[in-house]
Amino acid sequence: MADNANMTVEPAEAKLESPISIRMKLMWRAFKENWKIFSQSKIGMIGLYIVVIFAVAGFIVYPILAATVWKTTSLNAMVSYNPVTGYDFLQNNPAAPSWAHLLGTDPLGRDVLAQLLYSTPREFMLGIVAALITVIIGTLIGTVAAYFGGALDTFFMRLADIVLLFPFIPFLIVISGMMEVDLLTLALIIGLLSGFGGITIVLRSQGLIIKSRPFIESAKVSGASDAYIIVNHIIPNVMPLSFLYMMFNVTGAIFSEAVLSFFGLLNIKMSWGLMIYTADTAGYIIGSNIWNYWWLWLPSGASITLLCGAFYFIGRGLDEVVNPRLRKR
Amino acid sequence: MSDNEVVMKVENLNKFFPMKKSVFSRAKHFLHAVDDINFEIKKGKVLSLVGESGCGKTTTGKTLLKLYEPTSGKITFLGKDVTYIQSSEDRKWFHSRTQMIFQDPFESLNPRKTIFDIVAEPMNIQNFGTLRKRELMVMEILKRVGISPPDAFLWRYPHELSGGQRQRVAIARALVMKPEFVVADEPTSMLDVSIRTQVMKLMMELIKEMNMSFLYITHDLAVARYMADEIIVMYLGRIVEHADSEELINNPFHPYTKALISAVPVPDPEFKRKSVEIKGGIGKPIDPLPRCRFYDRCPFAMEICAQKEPELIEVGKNHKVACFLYNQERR
Amino acid sequence: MRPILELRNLKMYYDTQAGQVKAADDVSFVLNEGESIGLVGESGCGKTSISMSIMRLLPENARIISGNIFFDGKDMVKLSNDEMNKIRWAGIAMIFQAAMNSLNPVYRVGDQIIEAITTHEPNVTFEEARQRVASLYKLVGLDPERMDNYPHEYSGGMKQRAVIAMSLACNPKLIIADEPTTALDVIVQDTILRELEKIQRKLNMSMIYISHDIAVIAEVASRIAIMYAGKIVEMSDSVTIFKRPAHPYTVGLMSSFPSIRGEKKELVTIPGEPPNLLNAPDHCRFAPRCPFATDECWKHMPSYAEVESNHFVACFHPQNLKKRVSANV
Repeated sequence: MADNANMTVEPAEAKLESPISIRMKLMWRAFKENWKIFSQSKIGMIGLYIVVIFAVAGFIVYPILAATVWKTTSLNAMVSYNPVTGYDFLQNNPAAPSWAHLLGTDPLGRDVLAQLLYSTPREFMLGIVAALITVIIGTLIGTVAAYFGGALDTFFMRLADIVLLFPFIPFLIVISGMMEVDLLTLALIIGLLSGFGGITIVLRSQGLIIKSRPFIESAKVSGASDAYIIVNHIIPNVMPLSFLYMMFNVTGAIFSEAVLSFFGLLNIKMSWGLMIYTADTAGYIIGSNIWNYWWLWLPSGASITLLCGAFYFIGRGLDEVVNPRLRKR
Repeated sequence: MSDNEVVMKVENLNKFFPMKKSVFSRAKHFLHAVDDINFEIKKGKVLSLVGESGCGKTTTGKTLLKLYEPTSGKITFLGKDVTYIQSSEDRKWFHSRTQMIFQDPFESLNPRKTIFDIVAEPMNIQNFGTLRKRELMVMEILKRVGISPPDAFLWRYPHELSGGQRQRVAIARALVMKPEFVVADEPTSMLDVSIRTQVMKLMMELIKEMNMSFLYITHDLAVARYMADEIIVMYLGRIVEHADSEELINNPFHPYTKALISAVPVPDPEFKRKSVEIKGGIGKPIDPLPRCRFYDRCPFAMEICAQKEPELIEVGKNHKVACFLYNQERR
Repeated sequence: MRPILELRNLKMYYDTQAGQVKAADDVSFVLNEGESIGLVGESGCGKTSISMSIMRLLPENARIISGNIFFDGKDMVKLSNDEMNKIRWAGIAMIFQAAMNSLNPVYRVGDQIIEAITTHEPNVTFEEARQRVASLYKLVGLDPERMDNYPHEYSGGMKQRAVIAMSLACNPKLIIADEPTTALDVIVQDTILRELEKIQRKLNMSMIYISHDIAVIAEVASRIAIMYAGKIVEMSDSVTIFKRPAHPYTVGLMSSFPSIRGEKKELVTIPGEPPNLLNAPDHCRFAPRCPFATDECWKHMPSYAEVESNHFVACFHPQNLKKRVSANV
């Protein structure tokens, strides 16, 4: 008996690696396989390129520019490229694009390109934070409602119905009238509101499908508690779908912010929507002005559209990763 | 534990499902999925529940393992009453000694887990042993079920394995903690023919080796004959016949058993099979009337069959039938 | 007895991302009028691929590489899709696997059969079609009054009969039944099999039965072809196949079914797994699992030859033959 124990322990010990390194290797392998599938989707790759370009522009290019080129300028010590407080005395503002200001200046004399790049990381953070909150709430509630069913399920589904019908933008307008809404608050509000809405319904459906699969029964037969099953089986199988919906939620969040900024309801210093608002209140988007002063709204408008669209495209590309049936043979 | 000890004993087990229209309404109708089932399984023995779809065999198996709560009746496991277990200690004791093998090798394994996670799951849930011990036990059981070399498979995912290999993994998962009682729900019906025999033989070997008590659920009488010591034939939730396997196959009493046996196609082209004519199809046992459930289709139906439910009576050594044809009561 | 269907050296391959799958590899057989032949094999052996090739219901990535399919004298491989449409259902009809699920749940059953009739015979009036459905129902043992029910009002056995009726609707010359009773309970299966046998005799219908269950095939088919890894490895009349199987795979199959009659016998297992058809090897594909395999079996592909009267085998070491045959190269 002792001999037997020795014989099995030794070769086994030699082959077993530490569990953490194995998990890391498995995750890396899974990532590579999913990447292969994702990279075959043209629309997904286009979305990814656009997002990467914006991310690089906002998180890398802008800080470098701000620290180097724009802080010091040899032309005039008083010209500042600060997107919020800068003012270019040299020109008639709003000034058309020139070598000093690649995208011109806005009615308040601020450099448009600086504004664009300054807002980029903020738009990213807003979108991702809002989407994360939405998805976390949606996943938790959806899986719990699906698993327990009954009155709990009915309650959350009716709540989701109400949230779906909720007039989103007017609600945000009212809120902004009652309190100061900055980007973080906005992200929280959007996240909480959407979290109880449509995404919960979709993830709950997915949870129901998972719940009826035999491996759940197998865990129950082994004595698993409800919490164990939800955390170890249902949520991991729902997560790909959650991740997918997160992409679509980023789109929604960025767009909502743009709308609210356009109405001037947000208490923020600078964002793409705010750029359009500034141009609008100064009267440069009315009538023939709209084409004469294109740099006041086109770059910001295009950025909103492109970034929103890009995240949506990534979502479309992820569809094939998440749903194996859609893959090409 | 002596070899003649009863491992699982079932008395008057009922499982009725209420048919409700919505979450808040009261149920007016009940589906009698399992109706007054009695049997016992001794250590090391295999009992097979045989019947067509809707007869209640799967529901019985799942109720025994606590996937459903019994409506009434008594379940005794290793001498303890486990009909309704509440305390977590009792639950842990029960679940560490009972297990199930499912029908679908594709769906009974979580596609996002590795083979190691899947087979070790019972131990993870029960918090059994150290990580190192669990790894060793997983490797040992994988080797025993024919997944060899085990360390090559530990970190693979189910979709990388064939159907037969997946079912072996499912068996490994069920047996890793050496349970006393295992329910197998049609474990080979979704496998290829040449793999089926391999898996059946594997289960037979393991049952003998580990001296387990097995409840084998199947619709195929030929498989039940091969795998089981005793066979129970079920129809619409009730037991219609119960005997040792060879006795039941060679000497059937109940008209339904006879029909089942004669309906099995014979792999011999020269054999002229004469099948028993029974009419109609299987209904659902919803609010069944107090009469024999086979009455509508039985070619030998008599008046009394429509008035009372037949009880199980002894017609031979360890051979019981529920049929008025053999009951002294018939008038 | 004239041949109604002849497959000559048919090769049908799938192109997948992982490589080429030789689903049907050089398959030949002849079916005479009024005869029934059974194709037996496990999953992936090619039996369904053959039926799909005959009906030309192939997915995009499947191609018939070479070979002929002669139906009533004409080579169907060369026909266009429009010409195939005329043959489908009116010449060759098919009963699919799990046919009960191939009834459209939102249309009445009778209407679905009428649709099949009027699509192929536009001159038939609605009344005539209904008459035909009624007589078809009587033929398959269904009550004509139930023609106007929806599929969910039928039981499993009734749906199967309805699908059989649908296949007979346009008086085809040949019916291909792919696992016609696999999803049914054993008693219903018995009824359906006897029904099919009765219809076949009455209408002198030619039939191809596809199944993995040799017991079912034994009862309905007079000739049997055993398929393995895309090839026919043995073909003969059913008595020979059961009593004197020649190919080691057939031998193994015959002893691996538990039987309800006679003595309880030891089951023989065929070791190993069914083969992967991806990039299939050029030697005998059964070699890895064959107890009689020699070097030759691992180097060359045995050819499909007539070793006795009306008994074809593709094997270097055929068993149970009445007389010795010269080595098969």
